[in-house]
Amino acid sequence: MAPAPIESTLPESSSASSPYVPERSEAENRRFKDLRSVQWRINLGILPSSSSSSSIDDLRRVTADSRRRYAGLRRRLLVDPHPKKDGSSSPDLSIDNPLSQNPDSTWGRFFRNAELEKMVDQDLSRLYPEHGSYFQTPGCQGMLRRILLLWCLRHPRCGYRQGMHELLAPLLYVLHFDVEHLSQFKNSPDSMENENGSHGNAFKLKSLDELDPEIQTIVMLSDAYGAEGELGIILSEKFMEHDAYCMFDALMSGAHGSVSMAEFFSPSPAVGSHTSLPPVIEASAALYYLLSLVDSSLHSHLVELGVEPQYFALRWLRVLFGREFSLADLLIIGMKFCIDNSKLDKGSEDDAASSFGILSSPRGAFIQPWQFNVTLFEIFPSCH
Amino acid sequence: MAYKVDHEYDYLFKIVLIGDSGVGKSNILSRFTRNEFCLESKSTIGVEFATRTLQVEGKTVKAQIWDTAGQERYRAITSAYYRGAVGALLVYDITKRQTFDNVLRWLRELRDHADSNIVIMMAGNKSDLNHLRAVPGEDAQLLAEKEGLSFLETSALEAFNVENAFQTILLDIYHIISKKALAAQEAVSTTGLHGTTINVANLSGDMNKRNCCSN
Repeated sequence: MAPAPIESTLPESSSASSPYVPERSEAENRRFKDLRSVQWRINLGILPSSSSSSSIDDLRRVTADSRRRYAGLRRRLLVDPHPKKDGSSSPDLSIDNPLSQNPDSTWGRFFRNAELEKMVDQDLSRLYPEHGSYFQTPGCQGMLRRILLLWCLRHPRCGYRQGMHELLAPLLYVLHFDVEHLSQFKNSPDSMENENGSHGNAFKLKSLDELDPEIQTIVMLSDAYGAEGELGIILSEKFMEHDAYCMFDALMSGAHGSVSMAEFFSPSPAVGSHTSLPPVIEASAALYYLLSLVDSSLHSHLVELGVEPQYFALRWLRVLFGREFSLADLLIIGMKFCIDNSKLDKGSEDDAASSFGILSSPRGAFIQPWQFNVTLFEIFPSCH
Repeated sequence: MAYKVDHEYDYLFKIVLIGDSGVGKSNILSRFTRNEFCLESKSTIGVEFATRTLQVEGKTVKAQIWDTAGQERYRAITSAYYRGAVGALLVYDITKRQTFDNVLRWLRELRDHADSNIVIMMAGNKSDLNHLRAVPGEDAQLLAEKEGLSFLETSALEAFNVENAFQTILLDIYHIISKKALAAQEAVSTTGLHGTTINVANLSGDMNKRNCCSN
């Protein structure tokens, strides 16, 4: 489901609160509700929380810094073995040649990266093949490839595991979606007509303060002349790759108190685990326990059949329900388990329950606790 | 595993699909169980299953086929995956040499985790892409003979030899089972085997016990 379109017409004094007076408190907390890519970056701890009275400039500065870090990583880790034409660096050809056996040589690293790339491509070529329009475009494939490659090079002990590509895809998608959405809004000739009654440049208003707060925010987020200039534009097509990497890294490492997704790909027990089971198996077991409480007959039936929870939960957990829901539904529900660790607002809860009956069914009730926090470990401290 | 006996089949055989990522395991599975092929298929995450019931020498055999992600060497589910498996279809891609070179690694994994009596068939998949062939049929034939495997080239896309490959595995399993069942029948009592799930592991266990006692 698409996020609600950005309203371009002003409400005619129909609501009790004037749209000109920004409501702090709750409205402030959810000021990026319709800009999922911004909200997720806040929830993942990449951007400062909107409740901590951070200004747009703060957001822009943090954004710019995270992009600088990614750019540095890319310069450092993606290898171009060909010596520079300008002769600025003269490689030691006894080490840096394509036949070199030295694993640390530029060519050695280049070939290792190429191996990794081949493995990643094996999955990327099969990523949402039915959505060919976006995920299968060369531009998108290139971004996904570089992000996964860099993340794996940064985390050599974890490396690339099948499924990581499907965790990354929705992150890039929300960025893409918002950027597209914003550009449509900006290019629409009459997007501001109603507000200022002129056909002139929409952004040449007498005062920005006259605008709807939501639109104000969007204008300031995408202004190339704000703090950090172009690098600080929060929704920027140019830096989608940088932003998606930061989101993926946060999701994998479990920043901001959420579950570390990387652990679900690890064969060894998590630090501090009492069960000495791999995390994904531990979480599967917790899920079975949850099921036994909610639907004991189904639980005992499955146990009797010899169905171990990881037969199905492995996939649920590794790609966060990416295979159980369509991409559009996944953005609303699936990623909420992990990313939206803030409480759901009532509106979207109703929304979710009506768009798929699963949450109102007794079976669905057992994934309900996940809505607020996917940390099964928190729900069941005994399993931790 | 305490499967409920249903009277729709005489035997239930678990068969695992193994081989590198992207060789076509899932499409072999869908071709065999649903007669479907999907060019735009996704990579398998976790485990998937499908069954098909067919006749083998007059007996109704239910083949329960397990499919998993090709890359899962570090498997969180290795032991469950191989537990009780009586057959394995080891797939490589005839257009990718490396997937064939890795056959030995998969055989090692089978030796480490599966029952020693498991029936193994090697399948060189994507035979429809003959113009891109990177693994000569003779190379595979040699390896199969050396390792004592059955071997066929298959094409899930063209529905070529897929049926044949599974039929061969199931027949081989059936022969082993019926030979062992006969021996076990002589040794233990004469309880009917009809409608009971049998797996090689249990039977070979019984056999060992018998050998042990008779020695």
